[in-house]
Amino acid sequence: MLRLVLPTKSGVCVNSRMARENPTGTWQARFLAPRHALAADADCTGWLVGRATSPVDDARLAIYLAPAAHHRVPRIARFGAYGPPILIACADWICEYLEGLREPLANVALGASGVDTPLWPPIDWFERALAIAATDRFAVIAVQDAMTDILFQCRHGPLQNYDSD
Amino acid sequence: MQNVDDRSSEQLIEGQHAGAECGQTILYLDHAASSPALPEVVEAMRESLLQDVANPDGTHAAGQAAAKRINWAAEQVASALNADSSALVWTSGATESIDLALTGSMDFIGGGHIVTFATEHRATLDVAEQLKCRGSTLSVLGVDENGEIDLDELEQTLASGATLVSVMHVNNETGVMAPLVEIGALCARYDVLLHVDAAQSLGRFPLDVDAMNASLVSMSGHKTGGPKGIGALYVRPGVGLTPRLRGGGQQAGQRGGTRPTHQILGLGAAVHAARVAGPAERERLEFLGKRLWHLLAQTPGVILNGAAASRAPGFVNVSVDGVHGQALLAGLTLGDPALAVSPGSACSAARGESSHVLRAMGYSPRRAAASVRFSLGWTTETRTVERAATRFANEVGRLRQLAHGA
Repeated sequence: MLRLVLPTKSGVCVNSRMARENPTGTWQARFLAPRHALAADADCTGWLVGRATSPVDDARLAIYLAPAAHHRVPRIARFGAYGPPILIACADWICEYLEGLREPLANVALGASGVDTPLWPPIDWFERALAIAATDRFAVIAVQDAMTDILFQCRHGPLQNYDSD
Repeated sequence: MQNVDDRSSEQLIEGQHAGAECGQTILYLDHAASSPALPEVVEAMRESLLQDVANPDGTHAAGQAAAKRINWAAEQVASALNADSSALVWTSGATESIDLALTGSMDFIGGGHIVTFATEHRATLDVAEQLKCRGSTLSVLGVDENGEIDLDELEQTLASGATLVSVMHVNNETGVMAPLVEIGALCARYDVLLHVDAAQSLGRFPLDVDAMNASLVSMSGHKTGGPKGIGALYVRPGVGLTPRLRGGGQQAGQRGGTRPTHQILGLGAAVHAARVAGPAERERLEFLGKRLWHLLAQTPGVILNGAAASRAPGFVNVSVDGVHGQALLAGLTLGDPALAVSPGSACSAARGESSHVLRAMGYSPRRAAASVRFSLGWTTETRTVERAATRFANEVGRLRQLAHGA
């Protein structure tokens, strides 16, 4: 099982700098040129998939994490998103964030027993990195929902007959 | 009208659009929202600003000179309606004209039964709703899937007793045209006032207030290559209006405030140019619109809205399967080349809504949201629509790819 590391409330994540100083730090730039979209011909066998929807915004999102045999961090993170441009930008940003995690600095392992609730990248990191308004927070929440879905699967395995739609 | 080869829409926007990013090309296909001012309009306004220094209501020679030039503009606009120029009231635009027509007439009468249609512009629907709150009765009639009204339903409604019918000649989102002569005949049969919203058709189509039995006709300047901030209302002699702007008593007390000579000259010049261009320009826009739709239709899942209806040349409103409306609009307008297009209408976008017109035509909220209106005009060239169609196809493909796996 993939053991995904994420920062905790007390942890320091190297990606916080990315969040603060992202040179392509507006949602428009990421929306127009995302670098982590799932390729049409991608072989996702064995990948973890976290899904989320935002019915009010007619949006749906999937985050794909490739397992890494000898590492606890995701080797590859990809997304598929149908929704407003902010959602696409947020999905691309979280994928870049996840791929940039460094194991020595991480102190949460998803799936490990006795782990506290991890702290996802806080909403204000998204908002600063992507220059998005608080009114577009739905996109951040959708990303966090997708990550929570992955966390759940890491701990308990995929739900039977799980229907994210 | 200046040869469009001299000033393509791209050159025009690159040179004048302050909002464009450095080096960004904007393909302007939003003439139904606002058409760039024609060169002769700019020149007429420049001359007027320099020469017409006096208040046109002044009794001295300078004032009379300005008034004379306004009279020339009034002749141009009135000729486009086959009306008398003395029946025009200058306003700030179609929104004010519609408000004056509906509120002014209903206030004068003391309220009544207003009949309009679900695909009307918000300028009409919002005012009608306001009048309803003030005691009038309101009937908003539906349309079919092509955006066409049901004349039988209209007649039944009029037979039950009505005071005023308000209908737009050319729908600002789909370009679907209303059968004004038939509607006017029904209004005449039941002795009902007819208000026509001609914001999208002034100068582009020959209008005849007598043939369509119109009591009131609202017009806009900037939809036909004139300046923003000027419009007009035709008021048939004998039709009473309670003014909305009272101070000053200008325009026979129907609309207070000093007449903006240069704006009016600009509107007159625009209508004159449009009428000179006339059928040839309509034919050119018809060709370009068909060319655009032919190219857009190469992408699977693109649907022409109002396809089976009689539509004005230059309107191509499409819905797209498999892409999110907000992403589609952002992708088209933020990318390079950027398309200046609207999601239905600029006014719907300003309200943060999907198109009420397409929803009234029975389309799902998703389809209504994933719609784009291309509206062509005097700056549009063949290469403009070809580049826009290529850009559109690429963006739809990109967004569908992003949605893959979601």
